Amino acid sequence: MGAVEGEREEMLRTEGVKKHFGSVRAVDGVSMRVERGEIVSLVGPNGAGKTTLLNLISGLIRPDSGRIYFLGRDVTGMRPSQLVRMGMARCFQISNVFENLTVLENLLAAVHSIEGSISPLRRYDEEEAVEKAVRVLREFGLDGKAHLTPKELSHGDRKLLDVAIAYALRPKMILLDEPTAAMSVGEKRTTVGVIKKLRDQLGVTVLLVEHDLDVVYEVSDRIIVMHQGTVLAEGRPEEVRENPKVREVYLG
Amino acid sequence: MTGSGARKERDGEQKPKQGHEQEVSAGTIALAVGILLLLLVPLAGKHMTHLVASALLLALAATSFNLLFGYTGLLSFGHALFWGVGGYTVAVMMARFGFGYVESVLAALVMSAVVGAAIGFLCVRHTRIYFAILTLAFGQMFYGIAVKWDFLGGSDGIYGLPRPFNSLELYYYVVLASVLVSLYVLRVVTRSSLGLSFMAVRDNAFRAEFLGIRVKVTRLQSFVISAVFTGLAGALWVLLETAIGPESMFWTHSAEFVFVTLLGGPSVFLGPLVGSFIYAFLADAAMSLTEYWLFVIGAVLIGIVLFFPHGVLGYTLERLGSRRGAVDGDGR
Repeated sequence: MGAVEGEREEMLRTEGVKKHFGSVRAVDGVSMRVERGEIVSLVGPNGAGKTTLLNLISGLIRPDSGRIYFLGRDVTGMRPSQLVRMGMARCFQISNVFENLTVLENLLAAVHSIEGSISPLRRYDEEEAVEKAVRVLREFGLDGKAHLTPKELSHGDRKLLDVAIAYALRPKMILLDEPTAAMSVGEKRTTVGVIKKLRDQLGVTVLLVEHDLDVVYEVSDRIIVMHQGTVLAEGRPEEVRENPKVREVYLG
Repeated sequence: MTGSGARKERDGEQKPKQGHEQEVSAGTIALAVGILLLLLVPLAGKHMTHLVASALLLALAATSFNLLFGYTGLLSFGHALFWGVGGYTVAVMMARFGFGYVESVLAALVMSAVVGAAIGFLCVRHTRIYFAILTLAFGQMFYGIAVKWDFLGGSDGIYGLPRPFNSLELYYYVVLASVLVSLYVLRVVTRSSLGLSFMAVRDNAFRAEFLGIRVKVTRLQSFVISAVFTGLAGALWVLLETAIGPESMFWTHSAEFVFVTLLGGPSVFLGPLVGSFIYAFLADAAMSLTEYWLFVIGAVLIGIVLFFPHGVLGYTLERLGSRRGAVDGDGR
């Protein structure tokens, strides 16, 4: 398998995770691992169960059976807010932010929450929190747009804001659900840069669901191919690219 | 419901100040003039003093209601029950147990918090119309209890309480000071990190959960704070009227809070206050003109709601200045 030799430290592991919706086996016994510092992509045709798996991992829904371990702890059935506090942040396919708050306030909400500084007596725009928020905005090139509302941002910037909010939670791992969906070529380039930066400069492990295979091949250390709720293949980009089973699923 | 609750709350201070400073100082002047006028009210006679004191207490209740509605995105249709809990606590403490004003009002605060926590605990599991209906049901339940329970005076309520200082004028200043301090406290809350998490939950509870914010707990916090200040308004009102009856908890009274908030504008902190004064003065004028005063008020209010989309204050601030003026030109 694709992990580097030597020290491997487990970030996330699922064991035989299952989730059925009626007769639909959305996720049907998935076991997978993500090591610390990796960028892992989940790919597969529509309906393969990628987003459902992400929802299971991030605590949005509970698995019917199977276990999920994060940082070595069994986190099966934990709520998203608990997982966030443990260091697992998540972004969404359709950008999912606070529409009536400014970009800066979006970040401040995250900063206060994760710093445990939510109090009726602390101004939300206290200097310390603003500094932290602005630092994050700068990392994502959004500092010039701090006082706009999300409605006033371009599609690409909205997605960036979504990632910036997740990053402001000082996560050890970020789950990204189709970050380049409906993006222009230029915006895709930016996003690829951001994903690499998350890992290379900011030290965050990334689990990515992505349809654009060019993006996937470019950023991933490892790729997990899903099909009909199960793992079809797994490996380094070049291994997966050559895998005949994968070609069959993708080409029909 | 969150559609009508498309509200903004922003901060001007980190922005470049071009032209904005003027609006803020204009707001500050307006606020100073307003407070000065309020201080002079007793000179205008007993009727005016009583009218303004009632308007101030309505304003406090409506602003508290708006913490839950405008800031947290939950429409309570039973908020008069907290007004009643505060009011009946004072009335019972004084008339039945012989306590003084101060102890009675403090007890009213505690009672509102306890009842707020219990009812809030049950209500915050739901949102939108379900939350509204649930709070409405609790409100009517408490109204029913007050009507039937002799200890609370039944449908007559409790009356003949002494007014503090035996003076309407002096008591007016107690009301004025209490309301101003309470509004200041509520303002601090809305500008706090807790207030920001209220707004985050209002805008997008789903994402708030993924920020590590415990959504129900946050809603409950807003609910309890809101209940306490609404209860305080009711407690002070009983001492103004020297009486309380079950109609103070009837759903139409809850609707009044909703109404004046929409009238003034839920997106501005002082919107409910402006709405309360418009409503109180309009009702007073219409009542002295005709016995069909409800019809007059209804007609005027429909006009205001139709032609001032974000409430009178919200609309005025939008007209006066930039979009920013609309959201934070509230003279802090």
